[in-house]
Amino acid sequence: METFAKELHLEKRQSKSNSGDFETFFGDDSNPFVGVILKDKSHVYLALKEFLRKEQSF
Amino acid sequence: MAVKKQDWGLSQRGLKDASRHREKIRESIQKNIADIISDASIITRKKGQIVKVPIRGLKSYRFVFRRESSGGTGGGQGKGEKGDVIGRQPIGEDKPGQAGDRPGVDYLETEIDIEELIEMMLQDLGLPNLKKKAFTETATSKGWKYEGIERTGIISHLDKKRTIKEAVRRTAAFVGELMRETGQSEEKCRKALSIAHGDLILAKKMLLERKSIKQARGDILPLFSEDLRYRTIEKDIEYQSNAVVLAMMDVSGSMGTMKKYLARSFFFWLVEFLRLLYNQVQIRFIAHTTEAKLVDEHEFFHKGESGGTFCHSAYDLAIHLVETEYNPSRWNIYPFHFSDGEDFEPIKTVTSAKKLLHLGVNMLGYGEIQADAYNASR
Repeated sequence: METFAKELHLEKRQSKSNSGDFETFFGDDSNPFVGVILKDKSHVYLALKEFLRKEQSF
Repeated sequence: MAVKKQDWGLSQRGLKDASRHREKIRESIQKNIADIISDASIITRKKGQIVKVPIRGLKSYRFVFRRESSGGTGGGQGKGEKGDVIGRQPIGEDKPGQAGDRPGVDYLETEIDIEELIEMMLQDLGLPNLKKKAFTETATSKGWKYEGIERTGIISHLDKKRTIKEAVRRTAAFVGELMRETGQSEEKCRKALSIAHGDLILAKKMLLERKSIKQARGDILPLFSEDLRYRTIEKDIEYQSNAVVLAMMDVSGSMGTMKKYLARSFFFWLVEFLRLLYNQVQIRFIAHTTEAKLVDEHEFFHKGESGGTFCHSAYDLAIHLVETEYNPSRWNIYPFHFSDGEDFEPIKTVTSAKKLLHLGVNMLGYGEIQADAYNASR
């Protein structure tokens, strides 16, 4: 993920969840990329949330 | 005299209770939705089936008896006040992975339709009106359809009903004109027109010369070429918006069953959501270690291989698929890659990812699974 973040100039966001921090990485409008770090099964839902939100924003 | 009738309203009360119970279940599902959606019974369900979801924290009120060891018996005479809690269910302190000696917590199971669950998720995600994307539509021919009516055409396209209507309309206009100009009855005018084979001038002449038309039939409808109407046909084209999910996953030895399970759960829901947006959603599975290959769903989630990991191999195969099978001008493309972050050539991977982005995919996703076995299996 670090290489992606560095090379694609991704914006890192961190949010608290019941099962630890949830990290997301977003590309800009010209770079439709979403990266997520899953540390728990409840993060699947959060990952979907971010992916769909970003997808709808285009 | 006043008649007083007491309305117990038991049936209404039952309905109210049932409605309240359903509301409670809905609240409970919404509260625990993050855990529920990754439940194995949901993502392995057969199409059209309803799924059972565990509802924790929803139970009926009941008396909780004190344990003998905690002392005290019977109705007390002490300082207790109304509303005081007199006993609590002991909270388990067993550590994960260890055998416990206490009874477990009961939970209810309720049946729910997958669409209802999706609706709840959309509400929770704050996306109640998921926008349909139509910018990459493909035109598919459904066959032929009748488009309009014309005065010329081929005989096989003759619209008999409309032709007869035209003939009736024209004959009625001719009869009206004959009646006005000759002062004869409608029946006589019709018969004269019938004898004259629809010729207005000849019919008028016959009526004015008072030729005998008694034997003629007045119900024959003369048909002229101006009455003929033909149907025009056109290709029936339907515009469809299609999407493809390119599911890529590292299946090397370090990606255990639980990590694959998280990826499977994500792909399951991603496809379900994309089905709300597009008429047709395809999913292609790309498994990779140092080399990538197209596999079926079962192999993708259940088979593992030993060896190193070159993630760029999956992106290169995805690029090949986009270039050969899924033209971005006709397909909405969603590549998503799962890995545990161990890649021996990360720079090459980013280069391939950039190329995939430049091809015009809708959204590229990458999920790094860092969950250990305990977290993922909880």
